[in-house]
Amino acid sequence: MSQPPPSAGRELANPPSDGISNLRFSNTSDHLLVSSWDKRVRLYDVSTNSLKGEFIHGGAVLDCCFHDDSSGFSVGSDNKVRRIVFNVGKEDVLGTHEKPVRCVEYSYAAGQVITGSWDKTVKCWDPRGASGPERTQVGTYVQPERVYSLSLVGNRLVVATAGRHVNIYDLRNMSQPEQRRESSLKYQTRCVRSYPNGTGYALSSVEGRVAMEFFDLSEAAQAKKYAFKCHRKSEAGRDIVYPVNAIAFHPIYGTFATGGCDGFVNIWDGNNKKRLYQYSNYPSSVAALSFSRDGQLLAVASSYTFEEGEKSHEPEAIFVRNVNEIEVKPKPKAYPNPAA
Amino acid sequence: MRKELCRNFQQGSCRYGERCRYLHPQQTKPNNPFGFGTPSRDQQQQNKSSNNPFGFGVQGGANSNRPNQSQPFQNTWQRNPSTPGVGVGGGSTQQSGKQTQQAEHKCTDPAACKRLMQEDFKNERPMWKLTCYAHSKYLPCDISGDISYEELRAMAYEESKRGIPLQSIIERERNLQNAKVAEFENSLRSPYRGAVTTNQTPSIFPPASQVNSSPGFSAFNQQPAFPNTNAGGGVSSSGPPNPFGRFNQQPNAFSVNPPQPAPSGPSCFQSQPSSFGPGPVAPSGFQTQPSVVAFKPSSFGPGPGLATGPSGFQSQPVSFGPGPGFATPPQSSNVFPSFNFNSPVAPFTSPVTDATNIPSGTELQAGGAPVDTSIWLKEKWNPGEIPEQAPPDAFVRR
Repeated sequence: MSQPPPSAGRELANPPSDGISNLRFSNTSDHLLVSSWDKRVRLYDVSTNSLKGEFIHGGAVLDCCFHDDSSGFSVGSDNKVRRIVFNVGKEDVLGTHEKPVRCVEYSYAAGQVITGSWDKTVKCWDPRGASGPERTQVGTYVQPERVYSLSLVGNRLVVATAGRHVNIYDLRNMSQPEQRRESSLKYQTRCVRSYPNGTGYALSSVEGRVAMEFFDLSEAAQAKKYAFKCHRKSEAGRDIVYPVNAIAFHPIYGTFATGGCDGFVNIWDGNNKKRLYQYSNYPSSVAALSFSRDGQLLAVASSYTFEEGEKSHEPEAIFVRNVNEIEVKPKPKAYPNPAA
Repeated sequence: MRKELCRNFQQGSCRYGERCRYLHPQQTKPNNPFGFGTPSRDQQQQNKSSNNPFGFGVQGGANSNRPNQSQPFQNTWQRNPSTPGVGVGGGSTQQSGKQTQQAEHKCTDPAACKRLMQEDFKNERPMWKLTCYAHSKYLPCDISGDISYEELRAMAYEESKRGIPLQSIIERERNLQNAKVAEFENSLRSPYRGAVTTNQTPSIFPPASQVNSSPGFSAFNQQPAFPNTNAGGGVSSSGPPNPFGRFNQQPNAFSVNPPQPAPSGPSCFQSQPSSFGPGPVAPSGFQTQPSVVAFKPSSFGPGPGLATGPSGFQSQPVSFGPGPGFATPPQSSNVFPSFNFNSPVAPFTSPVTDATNIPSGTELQAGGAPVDTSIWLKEKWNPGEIPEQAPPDAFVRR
């Protein structure tokens, strides 16, 4: 495939016509599922740059995820949780919330679909229940506030809500949260993502900061946590502080990318506390990020997220770039040789 | 052994080696805290060191030994000069700004809390205004009732679907934003007594605000929750039921001031559609604040091309702020209610009250009995004496 300007990556054809809410790579192939405010969920085949499937829902689609290579789930502001089957273009409703559903994840460990909504609940659904919403809902768990983001790793679920609350659940026992926390950042939470190794999570906020937290409550583990500033621009002595909308972990190296409303994507080594790389400015805010299953590709949704209200903006675009090892591989600092 | 990082060692020129009284990186714990697939490398992290070579804000409470957060560190994003060959592209050495270490803040001294808040507002005002805020990490919010941009956008799309003109939508959003900003600003003004701070300036609340937000909005009256938002700074979750009820939730550090408006006197809450007494002052500019209204329709640019869904209020960039932080006029927060369209309860249930200084009263609107202007000079009102009208300009906006 021809390499476009290396800076941004390859732009996908047929992008959504309105804001992109999320995008995900499949675990099994280089298919990309994209949900958008234009009420559609689209499935792209990145290697051929083609649109493989499209589903139209009743309202803006706020999140989507894969189940396997042939099906996935999508949720949105029509309050419904749907399963979509790609090859046959079929969809069915697993259930509903009372308010728009903001996030969806599929847990392979539990075999359940987990959704978070602005109605302040997290619900679990069994996708095999084909007999209608009454049978599919496994549980409803009330949250302190509207759910803004959630992330799964192993048996743990991290839920980030409005008002900076964070609840951590063990999927095997959802009756109550394993831990209840407040975010260590001072402003509204935007996104939460757990580390691939399951030891903690990264949480980003609207104040251009990301916090690295750990599940283990022991002193030793908690001493490792920290936060760092990012996605800021200095101008005239003052910082312009951009929200950090998206975090994506590299599946192999464990380094992660963050995308903000400043249109930049930064790659960080959380371990060594360094920034590894910065991709040049995308035309619009970065709304979502996703690494492919082998970490070779990074999909970037460049889509104005309305953090500044109505204004003329660049059209939505999805860029997929090849990731060079050097950009994502952790680089521990080489110790200076004292004898030198 | 001193806990500082040895500068010479960092540069590769320390003569003392093991004997050095400063910390050499390899002494840090071998454990890879992140386990990010890096084969057991000694981390550069200095858990013990108070000096953070990376300039990261180390959160481990024990390590923060700086009383104030503004100790800028050299941001060491650059690659170690001894490994020049690392072919990192342009961005890596350009991390601008310094990572300051944030000390763990304990709310023992209201003045310190207030100072911290002032600094935050001055230095790190996020671009997104409808956010919650807590001046101290890990503690519950001081100002709650945040709204995400998706929610705002969803609301706007909904409204436009119902045929609400774009201008009204924008106006409503603008009001929302102004209210929130005012809330922040007020939190600075009021003496920080631990819990309560922020929210509400009397002016915002008076019903008028409601009106402001949407002259055309019929939906208004339906919203119960409206006023609440002001109170707690959060949109109260459900109309009448006290936003103030939540108030008490503000735990810990705050010695909560008794929630001013008697929670039980919901009447104040504008839940009643009608009561917006004093007359909603001109929409948008909620009076009192002359000047500062930052929002001007201006950016409204595109005009009612609802096609793409408006959402969003006037972009902030517009003058936000001369003042210390958010300088905008309080503007009624009423806008919140408008969100309620679809559902009786505002989506933002955020707990209200976090700090409600003054205005709790404002919520009590209904009607507007003229009050003695000296009432505005009080820092804290008791239930029942909160004025229902906007304060005269003189009292607004220091």
